[in-house]
Amino acid sequence: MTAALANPARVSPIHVAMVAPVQALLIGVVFLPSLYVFWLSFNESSFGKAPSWVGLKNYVAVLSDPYFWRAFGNTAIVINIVVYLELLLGLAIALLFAGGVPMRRVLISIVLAPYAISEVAAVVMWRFMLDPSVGMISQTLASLGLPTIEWAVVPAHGLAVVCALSVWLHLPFTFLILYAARLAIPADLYEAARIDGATPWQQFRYVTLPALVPAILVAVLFRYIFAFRMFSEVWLVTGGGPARSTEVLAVYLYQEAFRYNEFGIAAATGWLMVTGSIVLAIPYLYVVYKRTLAGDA
Amino acid sequence: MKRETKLGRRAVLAGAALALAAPALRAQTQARVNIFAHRVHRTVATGAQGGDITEAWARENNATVEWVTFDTGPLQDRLMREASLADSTVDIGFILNTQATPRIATLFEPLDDLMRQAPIEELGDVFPGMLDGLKVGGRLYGLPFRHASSGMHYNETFFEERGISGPPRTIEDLAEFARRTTWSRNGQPVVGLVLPGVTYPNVIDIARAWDGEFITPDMRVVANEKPMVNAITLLRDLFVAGAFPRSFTAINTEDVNVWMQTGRAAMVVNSMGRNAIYNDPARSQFPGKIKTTTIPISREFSNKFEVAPAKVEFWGMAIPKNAKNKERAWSLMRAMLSKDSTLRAALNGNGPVRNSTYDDARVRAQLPFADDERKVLRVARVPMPAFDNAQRAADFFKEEAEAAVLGMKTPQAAMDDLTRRVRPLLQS
Repeated sequence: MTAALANPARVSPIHVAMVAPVQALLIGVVFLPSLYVFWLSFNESSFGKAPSWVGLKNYVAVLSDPYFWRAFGNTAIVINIVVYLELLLGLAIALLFAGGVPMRRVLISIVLAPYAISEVAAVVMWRFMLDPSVGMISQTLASLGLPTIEWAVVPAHGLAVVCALSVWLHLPFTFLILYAARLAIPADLYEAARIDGATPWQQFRYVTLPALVPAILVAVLFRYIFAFRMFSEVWLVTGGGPARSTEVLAVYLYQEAFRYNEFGIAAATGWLMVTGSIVLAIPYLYVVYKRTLAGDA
Repeated sequence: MKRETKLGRRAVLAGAALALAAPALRAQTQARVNIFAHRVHRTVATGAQGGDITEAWARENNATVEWVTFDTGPLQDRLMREASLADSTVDIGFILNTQATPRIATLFEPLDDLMRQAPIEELGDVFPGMLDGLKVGGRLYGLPFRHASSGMHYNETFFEERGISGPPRTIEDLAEFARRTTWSRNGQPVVGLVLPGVTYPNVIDIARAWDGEFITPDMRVVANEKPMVNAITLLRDLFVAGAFPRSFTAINTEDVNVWMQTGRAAMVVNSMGRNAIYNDPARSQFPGKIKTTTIPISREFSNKFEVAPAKVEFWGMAIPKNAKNKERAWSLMRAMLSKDSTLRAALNGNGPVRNSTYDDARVRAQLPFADDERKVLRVARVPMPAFDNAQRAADFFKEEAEAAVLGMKTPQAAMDDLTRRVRPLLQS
């Protein structure tokens, strides 16, 4: 495939035909709606009111709204905690499993289990466990003389619960990518390192880590993009409260679109989020490109 | 012989084909009326006890009635989207009284002409406040179908165990009883009062004990006046005393059901119709022990009102402007609002919109709070007038009320901020 891309003459009509359905699907359900939303972001639009062109007014309104910036700040905090905590945990578990653990298949199933649970069910379960008066986590903390996690009334606690829930739900994604990449590292390299007298830390630093960097970049990039649009964890746990203090960008967008029916402002928020995601992704994409595609060509 | 057998097979095959095709052919000749509604509307319109109130109309008009049901938010979103299209297959949509705004009204058919051509049965029997609530610019855009009027539910067992006889007579008593019923019962914590959050419809019920408002019918923001500040102060004091849940910001209506059914709360202010859910023998640990009464008035207003003028909210049936057959939709709406249908829907658990329904012995037997509900309906008011930015104003209220109850601001400061923020919304 890489060779075919390197030599356009080898891209035959059959290749085009084979990828055409996917391309058509992407154009139909992503590209064209995106263009419509882009157009909508320059209009004032709601139910019972024809769209009217307002230029950049919606962008100005969003960017001058303190709730947008609060949501942006919360999003930045949550995604950085979630993505890097997941990376550390995913890497640690991947290395532990690759190093050999008893009942590895069972343990892998346990690590992957949260991925099979719907987000709504997971949130209901966590909320029940964290109920301040009757939740088993709260009661355990109380029996140990520790303070309760007041996620419903203390914003910092609410965001911490959202982070913990999100890490728990999405850890399998990061783990799978890193575990597969770790298993792909040839054993010869470790054998050579050991013969050369490398300590376990040196083996990790000079053999494992360089080999895992492409996988780490892919995992981080995808998780950043997914976490940037985080909605259900926040909406179902705190609803953005108390007093809108735990809102993230996707919740802000949802409120504008589906509670206030301000479609122009919601569209502008959507495009600002897309722009933010692209800006966030560019450094990672650049490194990934340099390390993989450019290296292959 | 062989030939006869062949013919016989053909006949059998043709007969079978006809039999299979018959329902489809019949459906094709039948008109179909599509109703976009909340699930509860379908339940109360087609329930077992009162029967299906659309069935006779469907038979007489050779039509089928198709219910498409959603939760409240998705229903409004989908209905407004359908009504915004060039044409729609939706014939009847259910809207809340808060949605009868000038902008939304442009999507629906004014019903005055249809009412003149074919009036509904005994219009004067329908609570006039509900009809008024569905008027925009003097024109009627919906027929009321279901109401929810607020009341106070209390756990009689808990009251007895805490030495309290009977429900609170004043709002001051309610606050006192909430404190007394906050205790650990056999190791399980009980909280005195629970509300499904501090959204404006819930807090307004407390503020109505002082005859308060958030926004008056003539569109003045009065949230920073004494009644609303009193209500927020009461909730703040109960929160500090532990008599209002620590997780109140995350409690929704379904959570409240569980709290009352499992004995985690002693009192709740919520729609009276919830009585059946709280006492459901299959789910409640206190079946028959959750009593329902009116929300008590403040001592200083006890001479003016017998009971607090609690809130009433209601659903109405509307016809999208792009509906294909408005006369047929109107015909079904008339049938669903007849005296008999209203009674039968009430037996299915609906909040009846006709005064006469409360006189029926079966309804009175089914609703032990029927008299109290009628008392409330005589003085009840909508929690807030409908206007285009109502949802944003509601969220401002929730935000400021949460800040005040959590102690981030004083109740007066929070309500001052709320008033300042909401005023511009009424002008836009």
